[in-house]
Amino acid sequence: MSATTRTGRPAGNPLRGAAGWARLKGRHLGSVAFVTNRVTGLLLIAYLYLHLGVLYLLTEGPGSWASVLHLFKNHYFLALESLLILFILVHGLNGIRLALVGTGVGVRHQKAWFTAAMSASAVLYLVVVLAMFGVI
Amino acid sequence: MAAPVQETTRPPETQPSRGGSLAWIFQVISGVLLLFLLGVHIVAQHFVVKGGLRDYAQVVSYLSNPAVLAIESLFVIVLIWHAMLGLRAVLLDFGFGRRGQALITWGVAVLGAVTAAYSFWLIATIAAKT
Repeated sequence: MSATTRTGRPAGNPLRGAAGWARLKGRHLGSVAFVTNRVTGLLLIAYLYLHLGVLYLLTEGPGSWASVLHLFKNHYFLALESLLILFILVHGLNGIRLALVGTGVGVRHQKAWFTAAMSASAVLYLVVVLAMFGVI
Repeated sequence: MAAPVQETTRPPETQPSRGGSLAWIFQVISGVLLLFLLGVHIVAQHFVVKGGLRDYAQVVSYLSNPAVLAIESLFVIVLIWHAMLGLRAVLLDFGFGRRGQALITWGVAVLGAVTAAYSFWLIATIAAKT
């Protein structure tokens, strides 16, 4: 298993900009987890600005909001939005793992923790999707 | 085999910055807070009202509650903090020089401040609609 630095980045691995950390070939699970957190993190930042932009409509009164609300309740849109939930779950649960491993807790079992975090994400995602589509 | 937590042996000037261990600790603390705050935000906005998302009147009435206003404001601060520190960590990995690193730190600070100002204006404007 590769040694990791405090942030979970593989030690001694020359990271040459975006191309460095985005390269997946020949990587250990630890660095896949590291890249996963970065990619989902950047996607969540992009969503944050999209979200803040859309919420501007609320300042314009009930009419503007009602028009987008109709779009947001569309099933295709909900499916897309469920991906947001998936990214949040993966980023959050993998983040807990990164925090624990970074502080020296459970380093020995970090692969198992990653599998556990991803499995929990999958199960919770399923639950949220069922709730979103009104099944439960 | 156990993977030890270790520092790289390269000299500081060639070693990619990890954004500092204090920044990392703040990232963990804000991350843990977000698990709770984001959970509250998502459930309250999407899964409490019948039919999912709140309509205009429901959003305004929800935000008129002072406790909700406090939680949403805290959420905005912690979320932007976490996002900006995360963005900074990604940008620092591109290996810009010392000047570049300072510029990135200032850049995310300004972006974070502007984002927070807009978010608070948004919250205040909507809450004032009651």
